Amino acid sequence: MEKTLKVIGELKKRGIILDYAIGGGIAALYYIEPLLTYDLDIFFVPVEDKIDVLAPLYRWLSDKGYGYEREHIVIEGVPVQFIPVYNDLVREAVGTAREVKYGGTRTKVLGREFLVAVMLQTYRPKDKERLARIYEESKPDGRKLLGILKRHGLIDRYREFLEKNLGKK
Amino acid sequence: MGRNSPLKKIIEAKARRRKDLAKLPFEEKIRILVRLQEMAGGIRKPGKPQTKGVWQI
Repeated sequence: MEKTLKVIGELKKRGIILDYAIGGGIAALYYIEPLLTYDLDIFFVPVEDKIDVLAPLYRWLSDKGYGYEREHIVIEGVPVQFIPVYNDLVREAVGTAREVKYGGTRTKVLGREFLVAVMLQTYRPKDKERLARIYEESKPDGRKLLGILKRHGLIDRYREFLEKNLGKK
Repeated sequence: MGRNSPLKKIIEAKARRRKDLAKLPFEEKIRILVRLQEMAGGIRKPGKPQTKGVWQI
């Protein structure tokens, strides 16, 4: 995993991407008890807004000898899915992500409150399950979260989640 | 469920355990994740190929 994160960090150092942060199941795992997941989601800010934003990084990774497995590229034994920032919320989440260390390697993980907001936006069954776990095991900062949710129009979704999943009104 | 019922105690202990696990270092959580992937692979249906793999780290 550390080797994987080093390679991903190299993409930023070399200017192939502008910025990145770990999202999805691994970001959730950072805050809660370990959960089963099979891929590492990386949200990234492309250098240019063009149609195929994945091409430059896939080209560089292929040149390094990393191969594909369905929608993933396998970097040092870990299937990685690169997801370009697709809206203002995800862009802000990457820009404000938390810097963390994995072994001796620096990386970035979506902040807890942004992770909650992104999961409220995608709102798949597994997001609801992870949200409930975050609330139980690693409570988000309410004020910070409400600010994010107001800016990105997610207050109603948040109320619905609280009511249906945590029995709060 | 009474305040001191055995079930309530079990539920509370499980919640405490989850909170303790949540505090583990990132590296330790990834080690546990790989173990979970191995265990999930081991309980797939006989004869069915493993569609999702264990991280080779």
